[in-house]
Amino acid sequence: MEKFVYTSIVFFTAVILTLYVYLLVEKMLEAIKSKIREVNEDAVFKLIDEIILKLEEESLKDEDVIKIKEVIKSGIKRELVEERLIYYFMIYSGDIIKKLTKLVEEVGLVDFEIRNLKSDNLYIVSLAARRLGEFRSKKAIEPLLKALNINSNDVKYNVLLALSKIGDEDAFIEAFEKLEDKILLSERSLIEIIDDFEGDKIKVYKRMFNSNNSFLASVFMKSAANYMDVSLSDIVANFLKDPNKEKRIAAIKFIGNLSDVRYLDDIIERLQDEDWEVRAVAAKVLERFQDERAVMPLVKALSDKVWFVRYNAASSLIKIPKGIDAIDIVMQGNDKFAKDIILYAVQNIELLEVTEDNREKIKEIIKKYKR
Amino acid sequence: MEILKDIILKFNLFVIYYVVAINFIYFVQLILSALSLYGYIRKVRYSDYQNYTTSYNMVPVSILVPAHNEEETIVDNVRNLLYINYPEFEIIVINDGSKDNTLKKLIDAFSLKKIDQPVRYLIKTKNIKGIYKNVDIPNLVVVDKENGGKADALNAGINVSRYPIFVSIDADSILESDSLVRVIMPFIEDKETVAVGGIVRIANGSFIKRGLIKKVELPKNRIAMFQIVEYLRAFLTGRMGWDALNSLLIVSGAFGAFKKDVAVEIGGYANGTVGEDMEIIVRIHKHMRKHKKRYKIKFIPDPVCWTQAPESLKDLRSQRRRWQIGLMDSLFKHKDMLFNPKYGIIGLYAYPYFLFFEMLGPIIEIIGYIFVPLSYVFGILNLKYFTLFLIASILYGIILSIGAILLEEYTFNKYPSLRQVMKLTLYAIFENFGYRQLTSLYRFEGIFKYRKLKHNWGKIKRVGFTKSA
Repeated sequence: MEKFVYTSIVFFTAVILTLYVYLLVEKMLEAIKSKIREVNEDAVFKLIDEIILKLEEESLKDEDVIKIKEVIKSGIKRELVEERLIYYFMIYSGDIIKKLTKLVEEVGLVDFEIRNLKSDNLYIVSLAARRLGEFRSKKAIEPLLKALNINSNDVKYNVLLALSKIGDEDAFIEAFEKLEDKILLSERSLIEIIDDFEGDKIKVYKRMFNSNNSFLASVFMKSAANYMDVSLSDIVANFLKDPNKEKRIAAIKFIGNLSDVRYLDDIIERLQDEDWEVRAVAAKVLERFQDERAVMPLVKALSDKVWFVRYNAASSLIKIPKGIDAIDIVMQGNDKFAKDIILYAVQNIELLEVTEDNREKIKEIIKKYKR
Repeated sequence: MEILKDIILKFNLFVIYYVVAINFIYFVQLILSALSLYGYIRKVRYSDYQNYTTSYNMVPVSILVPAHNEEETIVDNVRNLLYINYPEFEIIVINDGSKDNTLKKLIDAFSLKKIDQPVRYLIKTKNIKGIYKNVDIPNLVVVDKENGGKADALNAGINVSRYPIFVSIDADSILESDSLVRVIMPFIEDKETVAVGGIVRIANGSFIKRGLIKKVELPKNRIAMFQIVEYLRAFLTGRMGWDALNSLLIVSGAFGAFKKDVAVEIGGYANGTVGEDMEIIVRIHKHMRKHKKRYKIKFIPDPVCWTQAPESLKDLRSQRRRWQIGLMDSLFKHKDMLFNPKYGIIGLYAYPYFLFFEMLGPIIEIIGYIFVPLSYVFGILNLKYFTLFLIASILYGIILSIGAILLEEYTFNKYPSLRQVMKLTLYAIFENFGYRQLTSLYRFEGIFKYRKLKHNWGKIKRVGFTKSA
């Protein structure tokens, strides 16, 4: 026992000392790295800035490639080069991006990051994917698709984001099809990735709307609702009566965002949908059409059994021409549910969203009601 | 007499095994935390959270701020929250029957007006007396309700909230501008996430202006200093370690985010408990595992939420008693989880750990303080062994605290100067000589006052944040 206690005391003391030594060494290494970085930063950034400036006017020169290749032999300098180049990838758009991509391919940075995709360290893989996306090199497509097999949410997210930036339609679709049921990413992160896609979005949307995976199809439709391209309306409208709830919601959002009046009646019909989420979205988007035909169906929706549907209907009515007149009638009626929700909506809607005329009318109605 | 001697001997032997076991667990947690933190820091390099601060794809969030007699800090706190960098959010302050001027201060500071808002009672709560808004600050809602306790206030906030995720924070907490995005990111990254806890740091001593942390400093107050070391240990090694095992049993009430539908499904926060933050997490585990649903409860180690620590022994005593009572309450309510394989790692490891080491720890420690002199009197104490054992266990305590300090230095480095590291280290050593025993005593007292105090809000004395420096 005595031996055990002595050993543990020595062990704990050694661990404490080791931790401190480790901290000291780490801090020193960090300071050295930071110093080297500081010393080299100006020169490296200057070199890159000059090369990029030339690239704006002319094509890539071999001598510049050689200069950068020489610099990136050092790990710290390579980090600086990548950092600066990514900065330019982020601030530039248009043809110069292609020249930048050619530059990173020729100096070997794309190959370097592709090699990192094979690392056992998932953080290195994720970072490599992220950078390959910034570089927008098609050379990276195959290795990125392979990296999708790695069982890590972070890796998958960064690979999808990279493919989205590279903008190759077939590869992007293949990536999603490959994921299918293995997607743990949230709907919103997937929409963010799709929204960022830099290739032909219409082509991708058309293919993915018909995906066998209803979840994915609805996610692409929701992204399309943000993209707002009228050429997709006819295809999306077919999903307004789809058996899948998510697809119906996505289709309503899409049509609503475009305010495509050809489908107004179909949206109004969705106020009778069996799923309350669908009814709520329909009630909400009807405001965008600014069409009197929606008024009476919305008044009816004020008595829906679900609060969200009632609230969205009331909000839409306040913003639709003639909607205010309908509200006046409801407020004089006996439907307590409808009156409650209108009062709530009136006090919660940002008045900036309501026209001056309607604002005055609302005040009058509430005054009259309170009397 | 021989029987007593025998009991003392057996207890002493038990204590040795107990201390070895608990320290072994802590040590493993420290290692797991170090690995997780390393991963987290690496991940920050490619994290997309900055993009999401402006993205319309970010989930809208309701921030719930339960307030009970918080007139000193509430206005600053709400101002701070209004500055938060997040695309779409609402702040819901729930005045839980305050007897001071909490409501009036809010109404005056933000020119609020009472509105007619029907409330959907998804969760049953005490009566809501009024809801206040200002159309020029559309994302601020103040709910005035009858006193029902913190859990009831949070439930009222859930009922009034509009968004699919809510974040509960204490009325005395200060959030950093990116806090919300960081705590919501796990929901974006993984759809199985149902709750996320953030790290809570101590703001005492730091320079705060208009509800924002301007400069992080260590406090001059010794009690607060000890708590800084304690918090670093509890969050950076404790919770990070539990997170690595996917078995977090607590998300701090000072800053936690939840999926609203899951919270509603389990009936919201449990009334009549002071440990509502632990209770809700235990129930989520239980519910999800019982219904075989896949889920994750995550912890993010970024220093995102700052809070005031008690600076007097009186407040510290009240706080520790409350924590102990909250812990006991949750454990008693869910005793069917103990060693129940149906609840996986929660029933087989996390629950027993909290029961045997966190809940019963103070009792064993205090009995130990009684039995050691008794052993000496009976002549059964081997002084040499005892001294060696004491040194070993104190060293173990120190190593864990220092480990947490070092983890902080490696990762977030909020206390970068050598002077600060040395001060923290000294307090990590000195806490073993008096402070730790005192907190154990307070927790021990909590055990005995369990019945009497389990419905108490248990306030500590606040000072206005603008006075901190």
